[in-house]
Amino acid sequence: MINNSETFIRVLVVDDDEDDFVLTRDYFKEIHPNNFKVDWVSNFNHAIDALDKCEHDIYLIDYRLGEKTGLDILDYAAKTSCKQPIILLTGKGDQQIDLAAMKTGAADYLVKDKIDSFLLERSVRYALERSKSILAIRQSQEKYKAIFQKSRDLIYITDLEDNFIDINPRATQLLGYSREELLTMKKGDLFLNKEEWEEFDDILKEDNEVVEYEAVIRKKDGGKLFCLVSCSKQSRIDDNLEFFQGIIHDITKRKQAEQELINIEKIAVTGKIARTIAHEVRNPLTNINLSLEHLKSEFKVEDESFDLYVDIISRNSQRINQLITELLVSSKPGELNSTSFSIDTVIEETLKMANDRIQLKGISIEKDFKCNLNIEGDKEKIKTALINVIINAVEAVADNVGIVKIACYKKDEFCAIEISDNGIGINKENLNDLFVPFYTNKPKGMGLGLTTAQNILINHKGNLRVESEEGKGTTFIINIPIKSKSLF
Amino acid sequence: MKILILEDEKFILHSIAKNLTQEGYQVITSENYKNAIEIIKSKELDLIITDLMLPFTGGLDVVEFVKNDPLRSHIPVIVVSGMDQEILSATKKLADAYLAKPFSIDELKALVKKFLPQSQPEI
Repeated sequence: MINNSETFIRVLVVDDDEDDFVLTRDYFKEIHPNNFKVDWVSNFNHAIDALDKCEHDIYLIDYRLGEKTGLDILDYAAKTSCKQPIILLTGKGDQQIDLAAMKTGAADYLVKDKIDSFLLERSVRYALERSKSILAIRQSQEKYKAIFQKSRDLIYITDLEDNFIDINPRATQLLGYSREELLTMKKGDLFLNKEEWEEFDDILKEDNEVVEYEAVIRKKDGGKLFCLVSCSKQSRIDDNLEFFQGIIHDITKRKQAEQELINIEKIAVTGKIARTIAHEVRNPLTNINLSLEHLKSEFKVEDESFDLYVDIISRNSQRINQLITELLVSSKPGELNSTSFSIDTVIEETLKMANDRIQLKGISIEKDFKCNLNIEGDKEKIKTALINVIINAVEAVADNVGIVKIACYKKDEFCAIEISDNGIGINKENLNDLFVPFYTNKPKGMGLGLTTAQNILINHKGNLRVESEEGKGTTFIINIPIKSKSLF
Repeated sequence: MKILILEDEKFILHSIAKNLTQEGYQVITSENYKNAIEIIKSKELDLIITDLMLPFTGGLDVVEFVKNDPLRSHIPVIVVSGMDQEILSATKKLADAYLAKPFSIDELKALVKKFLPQSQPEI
């Protein structure tokens, strides 16, 4: 209820003595220009009713109100949404009451005997002006508080030693830590990779500012977020106390979508190359095979070596053809023969297929996949994808001491299957090449297993991701939509 | 029994022709699309064997030409290709049979026999 100059300033006087009210009202009448409209109530209850309605621009309240006092009204007003200024009036000067009034939020404290129209006008004018400023500050505060509270980004403030001083509610949603936990932590604790933290910190110390540094942020549950972290050094207006404030912007979804797009494109390119190679290689292969047949039928050579050589040519021709077939299979879109099936059963069946190798290597399998999920998809293809990832893990671990863990759980609309090994892990550079067709570091592998698995999962609108730490092992995460929709 | 063989790889063309001639079929060979269409238009054919990737125009066009012509759509067409079978599903619907490269002579003969059982042995 902020007035402007064209309208009346509405004043409510709360006084149990009518004579005193009349006096006060007369002072108002003497003020020029006279734009005051003065109302009166005589007791506490009426006063608080008026405060609830909050129809006045300023309140003048007598200290003495029967059993209650003006301080009680000030207390009450502090709890309501009515933030208009209140001036306390009293019969005689009392510094104690004056101080108490100030503490409870009174705009001024006037002694009735000393009031004249000049003093009253001045007090009211100041009170209204201050109230306007306070309101503006409060609105501004609310605005920035809302940005802080409701931001989709994590916003934090730390001291110069990187201890969190304040952090917004988004932090809890994003990271899983409570606010209290975060306030005992340092910013560096959120960075998963030490090197990233050190680099970030170096830039910050050197430039007093870091803009959108891409880092992996660790969640409480061990999960990872790809984030852009910005930070700058600030200092407080009044005492120049320095602090850092920053924003952490989660780009995990975008990053994953980008990666998936790259993977889809990679497979599409592989598919195109594969089909071209298939044509180019299979024509000469046909020539070789047909020539061999002609040789065998048209030339009767009575020599064991002849048969041996013919056999070698034939077998190697078959091998080349098999390679072409695998390359085509690893990258073909392929139609899905979708049914609904239990993922637990499929994992069990796949493990049986890998059993010989598991036994041979003497390694152990730890199962944690009673996820009781039925998914829709091409069962045989999902099995092919799974066996490729499982065999990959089995081959990554050392004989006899190797452990491969298989976990399965529901994650949003996806069924997630995690296959972890305690092998030597994969370094960052090789991690990027992992899904490149023909990439392999195994003497006998062709490097198409993971490409095949990924292709199948992409065809199911799922994905295959990998996380690895050198020396600790590798985890492959398969995500399959529970309700599958074919891409093709 | 007249068979048209369309294949740009000379040795394969020669080999198919030779073997089918030995089986008693009358064989006409062609290495390109244009020539093949001329032959299809001018001769009474009993079977067409075509490669899928020919220079300038694909063998698929030959299949389409034959199958979309009411006068000739009854002529069986065998598609020969090094491509993966599943990728060729569209072609498979049009063509009568598919022979994957590399193939053996026996496979070829068996497939031809399926469409033309009564071959006339050459005397």
